[in-house]
Formats: sequence, C-alpha cells, structure tokens
Amino acid sequence: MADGLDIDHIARLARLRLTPEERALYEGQLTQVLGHFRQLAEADLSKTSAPFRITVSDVSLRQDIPGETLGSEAVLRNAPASRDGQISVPRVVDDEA
Amino acid sequence: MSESLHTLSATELSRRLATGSVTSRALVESLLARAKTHTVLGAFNSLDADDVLRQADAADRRRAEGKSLGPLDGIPVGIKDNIAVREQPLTCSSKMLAGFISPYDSTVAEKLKAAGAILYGRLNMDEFAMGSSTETSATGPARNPWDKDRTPGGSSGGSAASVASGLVPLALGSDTGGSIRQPASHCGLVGLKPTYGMVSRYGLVAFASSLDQIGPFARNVDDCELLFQALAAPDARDMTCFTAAERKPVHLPQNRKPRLGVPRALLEGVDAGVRAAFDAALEFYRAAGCELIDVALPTAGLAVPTYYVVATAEASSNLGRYDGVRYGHRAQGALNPVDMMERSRSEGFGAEVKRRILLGTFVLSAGYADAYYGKALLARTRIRDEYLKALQQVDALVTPTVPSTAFRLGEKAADPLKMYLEDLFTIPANLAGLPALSFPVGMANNLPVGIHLVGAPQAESVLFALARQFEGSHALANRIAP
Repeated sequence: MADGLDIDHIARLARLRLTPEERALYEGQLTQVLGHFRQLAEADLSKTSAPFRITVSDVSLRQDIPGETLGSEAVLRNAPASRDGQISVPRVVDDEA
Repeated sequence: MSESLHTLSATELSRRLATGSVTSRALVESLLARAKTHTVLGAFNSLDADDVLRQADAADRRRAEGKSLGPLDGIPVGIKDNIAVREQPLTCSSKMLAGFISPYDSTVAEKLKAAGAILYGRLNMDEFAMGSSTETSATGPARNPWDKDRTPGGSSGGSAASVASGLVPLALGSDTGGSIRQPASHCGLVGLKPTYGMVSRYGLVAFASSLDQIGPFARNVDDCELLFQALAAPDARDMTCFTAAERKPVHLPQNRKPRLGVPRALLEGVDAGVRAAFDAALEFYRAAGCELIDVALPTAGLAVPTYYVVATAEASSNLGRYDGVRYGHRAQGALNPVDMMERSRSEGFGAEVKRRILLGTFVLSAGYADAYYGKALLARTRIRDEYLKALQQVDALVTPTVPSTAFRLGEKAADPLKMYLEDLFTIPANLAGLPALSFPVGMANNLPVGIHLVGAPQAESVLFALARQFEGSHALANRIAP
C-alpha cells in the first residue's frame, strides 16, 4: 500500500513545503510506518457491524440562544497583522484582474 | 514548616487550609521557591509568580471571610499548555502559537476557578500533544524527576514531572492515546483518562477530536478523584459532553468479589521488571479476594495502526486551521495567501507535527482512504465492541500501563514507529471511549512502574476503588521523586 506514497503530492495537499532533507526523512519514515499499518489494510473486517462513529444524543444539541462572543479587539490581539479593525493578509486579487 | 509543604497531598493541604494552620500564600510561596530550584526538569513553559500569588491571596481572603469555595479553594493546579486560561499564554509547546494569549477560559478552567483552585502555570508538553516523551516540545524536553536523563513520558510530560517532583500537588493533562496515563506511569503518579464525554473539551486545543479527553494527575487516588469530580459536568459548548440525564456513574458491586480481566495474549514483549511488578500486583488482588479472569481481545492487536490512522487523519484536519491568517505564526514577506499559508505552516510546525499531518493527509487521500481510514473505523468498532463485551464479565481490564519503564531522552526520537508502540496498552481505551486509570505499583530499575485499569463507560468510581485498595496496602502514594 505504501508503494503509492507520493510525498510531494501529500505535502501539497497538506500545505507544507518540505526541504529536500525533510522530504527524504519523511518519505522513509512514512513508508516504514505505513508498512506497520499494512496489517490493518489487510485485515478481514468484513463482518463488522458498522464503521465507528461518535454517538451524540439529540439532547446534546443546545438551544440556539445568542451568547457572549469575543469582541474584535480580543480577536485582533492574536492576529499576525491587522488594519482598521480587520485582519490583513497578502493581496488575493491583482488590481488588473 | 514551609519547606515541607510541597510534600503534602491536595487533600491534606485542603484540611490544613480549612483549619487555618497553613495559608494558600505560604503554600504558593513555597512552591514558587521549589520551582526555581527545579528548572532543569523543564516542567513549565511559563509560570507567572505575581498572578499565582494574587490568586492565593484571593483564596485566603475568601476563607477569612468564611466564604470558602470548597476543598480545592487555594490549592494550586498546574495546567497543560493546550488548555485555555483567559489572559494566559496558550502555546501547545509550538512555535506556531508562540506569543498567543488566550482570550477566553476553557470550561475546565472555569470549573477550577469556580472551585477556588489556583491555576498554576503552563505545563510543558509534546508539540500539539503529539508525542510520548515531551521531546517534540519546541521549548525543549521535560525530564523525569526520578532520573533526569530519562523522559517523564508524554505528551503531558510537564504535568507529570511537576506533580512527581512536588512543584504542584495536582495538574491537568489531556489524553488522546495515553498522554496522561503513560507519563503518570513513568513518574509514579495516579493519572486518569475519563470516559469520552465525561469532561468538556471546550477550550482544549483539538488534536484528534474523537479521542481527546482532559483528565487529572495526582500523587494519590483521593487527590485524583477530587480533581476529577471538579471537572466532570455537562457543558452545552461541547456536544460530545454527557448531559445531566446521561450521567449514570457505575460503581463497584458490593454483593460479590471484584472481577479483574487479564488479556494475557497482549502481555508478550513486556519488560521483565515491569512484568514482575505487574504480576505482583495481580497476586495482591487475588490474595485480597478479587477474581482474576482471562479475557480475549482479538482485535486489540490492531489498536496501534488503527489509532495512528484515526488520530493523524483527525489531526491533519484539525491543524488545517493554522494557516497564518487569524492567529499563530505568519511567515514574513509572503507573495500571496497560498505562499503565506505554506511558509507559515512549514516554519511554525515541528518535525513530529509535520510527520503526523502528512500521514493523516495520506490516509485520507483519494485512493487510500478506504484502505486506511475506512478500515480503521471498522477496526475501531470491533475493538470497542470487544472491550464492552469483556467489561460485561469483569469490573476492569488490567495490563501494565507501558511495556517498559521510562526510556532515555533521545533513545526513540529518531524512530517514530518505536515511539508509537509505547502506547500499545493505553490506546484501546481512547478508541473505545472508556475510562482508564494508571497508578503506581512498584519500581523496576529504580524507575516507577504503573498498571492500567480500563472500566466500562462512566465506571471511574470502580477504577478509583480498585486502585485505592492497592494503594492502602503499599507505601507508594504521595512519593516525591528524590
């Protein structure tokens, strides 16, 4: 199964940029770990009742009542960059577009 | 007298605070002085002396006015650095969250404040709780107070090291695959992972949401239960948290002998010293009138791969929020938002977190999700069903907590698979959502050995009762590492 491991593709999906050293390290380590996982991939679990899911009872759904929320000042205090009371990020759309 | 305050249990401190023979300020001053001489342990990421003294004075004032909030009033509780406390740092021992100050309280922080506890510092951990040794922490490893060249375990290594060395009487950790119980075992402590749904996770930084639970560390069973009781309550802000109507605690039956299930097939590969301490503990229970019953858990052998598929899949999704936009590390000089996200994540996350995000992304990716993630969900159902079935016959399942005693720092750091196998005995309780307790039963190679009890849903009281039985006949409680 681990034969299919395309580390560059996975890193792109995960939005991680790997150095050549990291790439080599992770490729080797993940191949080893996935080798250990093979017993799971190959196990016959066909008679299992259903895939696991967390059961949450209906009563766990709370009433939809407005509550206190964080003010913009509290939120912006942890923002890496802000301007005029808003979080700022690098330009998304070019002027010409 | 103040020199010895650090040796006292939370319940004893509570008694003395109530009689007025000690003040919370005196206690905190003594613990602050001790923390200064134990920095080598790397237990705290931060500890604000002014803040904890202010909290102590407030507790003393309440008591003087006859308005004590209960047994935890004025008692310090260390907080793992992934649990939000308003106006305190919340770093998860990651560069990604360096400088982050929590704008709100987690539910457990609210509970502790309402009980008058002193929220005492931010405890070191594996980065984002991913690790079994506290070596993946961006602030450096925590050390085992019993042997400073060894790990205290992880991921809640700072919690364990601080309580074991008398820097604080109680601490909170979080447990996704063993992160409370494994360090409790390695440091000679009592550590509980509650039933999934027992304690609110609101304000716990998410790692793997179907597995994460918050729980207590203590130096004896009573203290552990005291802290657990303060945490276990309904919370509408965590939809997995049991409502009041769903809370039906299970107790040890009084009309027959307690029954302990021993899954002998899982015990292969346990180190000789750990095995000897485990066997001696079993013999104690047998002699004390417990029935020991062999049980089979045929799918438990798949628990480690099942766990690492489920946990990394959920982590790869949960950690998607760290994109450098709203909070956390942002790379400088990015050309566009995608460049910013990729560089921020690559700079902010450490090696183990990247490894797990990659693994989780792979097991969820097109073409592999059925073979890995889908299979893991099936195995998880089987493991849960087998555990629940076994727990219809016995009151608790018993194994060692960890196959070996604490390893040397660096010994397993380069071999992730070897590190993952540390969690062999602790993982199934997370997969099945069951309560599990580690408590000390002896020493091997001059290092603490713990055993591990798993109970039926909401059977925390059964685990405490069984552990208390052992504790009462052995001088292993309330030890401070030399």
